Amino acid sequence: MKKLTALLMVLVLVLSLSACADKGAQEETSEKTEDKGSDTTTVKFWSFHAGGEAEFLEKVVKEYNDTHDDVQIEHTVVNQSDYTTTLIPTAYANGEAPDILYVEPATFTKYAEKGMLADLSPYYTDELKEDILPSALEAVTIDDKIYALPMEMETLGLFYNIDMLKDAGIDPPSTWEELYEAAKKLTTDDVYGLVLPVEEAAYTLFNWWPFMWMAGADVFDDDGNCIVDSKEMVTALDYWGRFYQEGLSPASLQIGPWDIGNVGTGAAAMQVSGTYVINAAENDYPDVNIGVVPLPSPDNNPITVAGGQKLAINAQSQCKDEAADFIFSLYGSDDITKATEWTTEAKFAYPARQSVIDNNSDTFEEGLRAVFTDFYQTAVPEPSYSAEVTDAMGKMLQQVMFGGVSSEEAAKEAQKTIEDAAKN
Amino acid sequence: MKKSNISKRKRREYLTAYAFILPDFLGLFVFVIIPIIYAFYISFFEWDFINDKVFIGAANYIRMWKDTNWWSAMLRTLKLTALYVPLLFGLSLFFAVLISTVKSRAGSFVKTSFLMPFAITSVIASTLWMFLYNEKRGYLNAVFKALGLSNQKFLGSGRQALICVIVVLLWINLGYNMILFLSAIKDIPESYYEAATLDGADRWHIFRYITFPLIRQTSIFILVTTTIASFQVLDLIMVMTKGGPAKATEVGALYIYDRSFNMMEMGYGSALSVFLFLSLLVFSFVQMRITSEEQGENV
Repeated sequence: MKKLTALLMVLVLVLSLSACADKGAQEETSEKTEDKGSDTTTVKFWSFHAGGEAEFLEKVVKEYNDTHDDVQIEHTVVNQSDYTTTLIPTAYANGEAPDILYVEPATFTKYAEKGMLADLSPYYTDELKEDILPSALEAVTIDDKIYALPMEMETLGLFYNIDMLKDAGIDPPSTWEELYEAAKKLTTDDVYGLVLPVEEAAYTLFNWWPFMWMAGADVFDDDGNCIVDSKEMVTALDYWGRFYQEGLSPASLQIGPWDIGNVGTGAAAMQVSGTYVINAAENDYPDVNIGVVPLPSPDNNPITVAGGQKLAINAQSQCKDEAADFIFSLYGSDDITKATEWTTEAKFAYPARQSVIDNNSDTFEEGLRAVFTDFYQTAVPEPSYSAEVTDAMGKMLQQVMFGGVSSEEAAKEAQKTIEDAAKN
Repeated sequence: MKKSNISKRKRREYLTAYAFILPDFLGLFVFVIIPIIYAFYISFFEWDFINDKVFIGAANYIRMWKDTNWWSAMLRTLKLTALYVPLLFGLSLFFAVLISTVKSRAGSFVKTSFLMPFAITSVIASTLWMFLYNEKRGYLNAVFKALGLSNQKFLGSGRQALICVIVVLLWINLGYNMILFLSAIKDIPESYYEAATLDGADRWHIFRYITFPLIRQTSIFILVTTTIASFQVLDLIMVMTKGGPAKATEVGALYIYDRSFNMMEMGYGSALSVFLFLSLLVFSFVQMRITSEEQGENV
């Protein structure tokens, strides 16, 4: 009896402790759709934005609901870090997924391959297809089917503290060698020369891609063969890894690697970050002189990457037409007011549509933005790989950055992992 | 006549007692037992949340057996447990005994101070410690520098990261476990100590032969709960390192999370969870068995 009680007690303890982990997810996904009337279609839309972006979304949802009696958008704001990790997959699993959701390159292929996203091609007009930048459209197309609606392009550049560089007598770097020398010179007991991302995460890969491309390396060749184990990849890895190994870049970060606060607070002299921090660089750190240049390259021929969120529709949705009507009225309509507002007022990003750029040339030439405008049209869309490839590439970087593994070995291992995954 | 009265009252008391437990039990059943049974069920399927589950028998378990990444993650969990549990046990006992001898108001001040970290959510605690651990501008390195020691990378170092996590865990949980020990010590009748002192026992003997044996139940409780908790550390690591640098802090629970949600392999993730759950069960049972056997020898 005593033993049994003991066993029971252990069981209860183990159970109750292991229960804590999933409480959070359950709370957030248990919301139910409210039907306003029998002939009203409710379209569920989940976003995760804050500040000006959230205000914009609230406004457009309200406008849409006020002008539509038969369709109502039910807008729910959820936590961004849970959005792609736990919320969306679990919501799909229990049939509670929103009709409209956001996807980004890191999740796009994974979701599309699993059949989670509806084909939006029927909703695209020919005019719209022509207006959207080819690379942006290509990034959401798989086998001639378009699975998402791009509304923005976020590109990377090198942000730096103008005064720190001036005091050290350094010109803003434009080549790899210059960037390395500058980082070395600017690193002190108190300041990091260059902030690059640290964690094994999609954002780290987003920053890594342009460096990989600039070295002439890639994950797959045009025929889809894995070419990770190449001389060029080793060059890129050697270069990227050096910043961490020599302590020029931090090995652990207190704030996000994207956060311009790294340069803004003086903790770092230079930082790779994107168009999305321009507003913060201007508004949050008015006393700090922050400049930006294109990412340095080996041969003065910079390449940058273009990421950004896209809107997609749930393949299981019962109201795809209504959902499509809403998102296309925002970013896919002939009337480009909303599409313009999103990229120029709600946030700063490059619009995915040529007409928006042409109509707002002033905005895109203002201050720090001009630097990006000069080269963003040549930006390469952020690639969207399967979970296995992303995992292998993320691990390869970590091994070189912090694992004491040589670039050759890490590249070889990633090549093998990707090839093995393709076989299964 | 009198007897049946008592049993009737007893029965009613039992009923009331069970009625009080019922809501808790229902909650436990719906939110804990059913999900665990379901996880066990899913562990025999290949399931990506979206498409239909495919029954694959024990394939997930076979895959687990061959998954070297999983075993290195589990090894990290064991390392964490082996360091954390004895440290927490020893330190909270040490401070409890120390504070129990302080009879003034300072005692309750110290107690409250120790307990404070426990009231802070782990995410905030992790964020606070990241300030301390910061390589260039952190307070710890400032102290190190003042002592003439070299700058440390802490969370950024593959060797130190796991230890840094353990330190934060200790900081959070020390106070709570100390209070548990303290209240157990308080329950020991003062006369035992008086008698021992009269017999000329020194402080070590008093601790060894009076305090420690008499707080055995609490000790077992703390050992078991701490071991279980150490297997499930996830939030701190998610905030501080996300498993890095280079997987140095990727413990079993984090690997399960990654497989289940990032890779959307819920079936495999469930199989790993079931394994973790069963190993915890065995581990805890053995732990209790050993400690209760010891009890038999002593008495």
